[in-house]
Amino acid sequence: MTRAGRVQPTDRVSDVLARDALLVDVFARCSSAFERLRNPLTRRVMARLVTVEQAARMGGVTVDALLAELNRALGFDGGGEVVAVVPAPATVDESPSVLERVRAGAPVVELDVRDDLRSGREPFSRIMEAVASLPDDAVLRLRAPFEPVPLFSVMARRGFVHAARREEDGDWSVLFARGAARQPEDAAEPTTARADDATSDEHVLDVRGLEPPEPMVRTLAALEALAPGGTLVQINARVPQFLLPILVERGWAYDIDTTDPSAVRVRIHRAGDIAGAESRRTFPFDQESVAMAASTIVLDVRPIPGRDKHSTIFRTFDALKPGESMQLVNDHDPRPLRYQLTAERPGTFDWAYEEEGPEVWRVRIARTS
Amino acid sequence: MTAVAHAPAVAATPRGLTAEQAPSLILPGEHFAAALLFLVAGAVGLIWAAPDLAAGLHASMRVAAVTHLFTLGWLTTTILGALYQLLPVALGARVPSERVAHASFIAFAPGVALVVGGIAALAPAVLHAGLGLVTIGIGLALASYVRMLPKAMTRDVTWWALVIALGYLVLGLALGFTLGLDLTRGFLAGAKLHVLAMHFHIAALGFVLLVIVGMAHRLLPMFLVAHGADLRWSRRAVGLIAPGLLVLCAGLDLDVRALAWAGAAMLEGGVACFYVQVARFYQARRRPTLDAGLRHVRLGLASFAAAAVLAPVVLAAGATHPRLATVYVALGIGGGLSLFVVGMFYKIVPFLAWIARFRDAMGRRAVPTIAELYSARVARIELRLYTAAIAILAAGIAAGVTLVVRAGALLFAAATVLVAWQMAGVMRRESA
Repeated sequence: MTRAGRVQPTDRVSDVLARDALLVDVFARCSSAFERLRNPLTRRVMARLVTVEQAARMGGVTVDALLAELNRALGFDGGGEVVAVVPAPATVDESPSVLERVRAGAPVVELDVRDDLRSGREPFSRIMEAVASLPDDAVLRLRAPFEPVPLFSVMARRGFVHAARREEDGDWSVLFARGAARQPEDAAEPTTARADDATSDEHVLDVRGLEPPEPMVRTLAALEALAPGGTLVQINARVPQFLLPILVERGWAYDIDTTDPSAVRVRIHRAGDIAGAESRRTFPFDQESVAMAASTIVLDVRPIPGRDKHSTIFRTFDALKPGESMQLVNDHDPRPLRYQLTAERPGTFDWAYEEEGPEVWRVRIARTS
Repeated sequence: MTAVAHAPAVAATPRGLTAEQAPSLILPGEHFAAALLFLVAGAVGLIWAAPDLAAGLHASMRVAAVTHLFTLGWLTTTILGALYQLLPVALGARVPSERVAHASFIAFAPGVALVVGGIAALAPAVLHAGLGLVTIGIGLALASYVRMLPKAMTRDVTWWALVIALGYLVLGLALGFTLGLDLTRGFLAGAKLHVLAMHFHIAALGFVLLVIVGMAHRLLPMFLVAHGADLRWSRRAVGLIAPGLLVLCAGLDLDVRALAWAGAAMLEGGVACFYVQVARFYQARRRPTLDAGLRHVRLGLASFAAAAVLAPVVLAAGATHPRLATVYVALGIGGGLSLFVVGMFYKIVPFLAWIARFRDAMGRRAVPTIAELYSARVARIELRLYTAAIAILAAGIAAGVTLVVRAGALLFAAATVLVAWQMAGVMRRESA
């Protein structure tokens, strides 16, 4: 969307209101549910979390109607259709399995974030903490002043199903329970999707329309919610240099596809396993070195627990072919490893320090036979 | 631009992009802090230099000292620090030695203070000592950049703009040395004004403007979320500004008017291309509203455009209208280039502070937005002050009224103090 362009379903409400603060009246006119946008504290949290499309659902209006009203207010022709208000159903999106579990007596953990939202605090961390400590057989009952639509996709990626209900006081109750179902196709956030070329374990996050540092924040949040063994493919307008070191710090491995300059693909998965290490092949910028570097594996063992480090390194080393090498990155001098390699793989490697501290050690270990 | 131009489809973790490759934030941080102090000093210096400005004495010691606070102190210090952060990001080349980079700063920053003090107090010994330190500082910085630039993953317009700009930095420094030596030896005689004009334009256009053109080519699309814009205009801008400046200087040095006019025309064309490029970015942007940083950039561009419009008039008038030349300098440096960099400061400093502070929390818990690290209200007030200050300063100088110039300078200083206060707040505040 350009500045002069129409409001789109995927635009954040905060961006829409940033164009003209008076658009809050248009929202409120379309649905009383949007009256809470007049509260600056609520607006601060809610507006930047929710897209127009999601807001329409939360307000019980059709997205076309809401868009028409907003665009008409911004002076676009053809935006004048009468808003068709669809009363929000009392109960929506109920997953029978969740309700059945509650009826069967599953323990219910209550979490009320209404005060957080009304006072302008983002409750995401509280919710995630509650989710993390939720017993397997328990159900989380979340109370919020509006239907937390963006949360549904986050929880779905964590393997949760949900049932949402508007209570008599106008606020919402959402039940979350662990279920076998993975994220439904239509539960993705606007910038998240399964790409046509993605495998079943891959989630694609297109961040090209976001201003830094939003792409980084969204990507890291998506990784937090990524199922074990899953892969996140970030599509960016450039190589996300600031993100990469943070990925490494947090134990993620990545490879980057720059074939299409307008859509750089960063494929991110958990580091530490052989597959992850092998895929992090380093290509330097100077083209003459590409061939040499193509056979170099970077194995950063800093995020790997101490007890697993040597086994990981040995697995990686054993997977090397003669003539190939790996660059080991560690936070201390890996001299004990050298002794162990000498003892267990005698005459099969060359050892060369490329960087010797004080904070990082890099050692090139080449397989000689 | 591709990170790896001919690499296989799934391949590249470009070199220079792991955690250890990025320079510590202390390196750009120390440059930015010193630069901000120089900006505040320069803004306060405008009040002090108001009588000379109103009289059109653009070559007076007071005006020269204040000008150097802006050019060497604010703009060059910021650029030197920013390059340590931006070269790894924009070009994928790592800082070879942070120790050398720190040493560069330790020589450069006090050197600038001595240069300014030496000019203001007409103390050649102090000036020469300062020039020596500045030379050491720039030399060490260049040593770092020279090792970084060949390793860049791509040699696009940003790379070329920076390489040419650094060349002009050396040339500007050499001319500065010449002018410094002339203080005691007087060998330039009647050519002094021409050398001064060359020194000014090489520093302001050859170094600062080319860096801005090059970095804007990378940063503006990112800040404006303007992808897919026509990118050819930056190349045209560099292609005209870089040789145009040499032609202008040759015309001034040889006193060949036609040559000077040809150079000026090329420069004007280059600046126009830069503005077309910026307009393309703004038109293609997905970001609907402009934040504080981008508003400052816009004001800086407007002020610089005014200077560009004045430039042919100043060239035609020569030395006969010194106040016009002073307005030209004030709009170009004080309003144009300086405020553009203030805008970039609003984008880069909070971003770096935000990354440093919330690195561990990102994606795990709610964190403030970058905009919440500073006060948008104060930024709006400060931007209005700058807008008024530039208009009043220009009008005051043009009219030759010291009181008006001083009023403009006061507003400028007030706005600058607010910028410094905002940046200090960014470094200490959890959220605004």
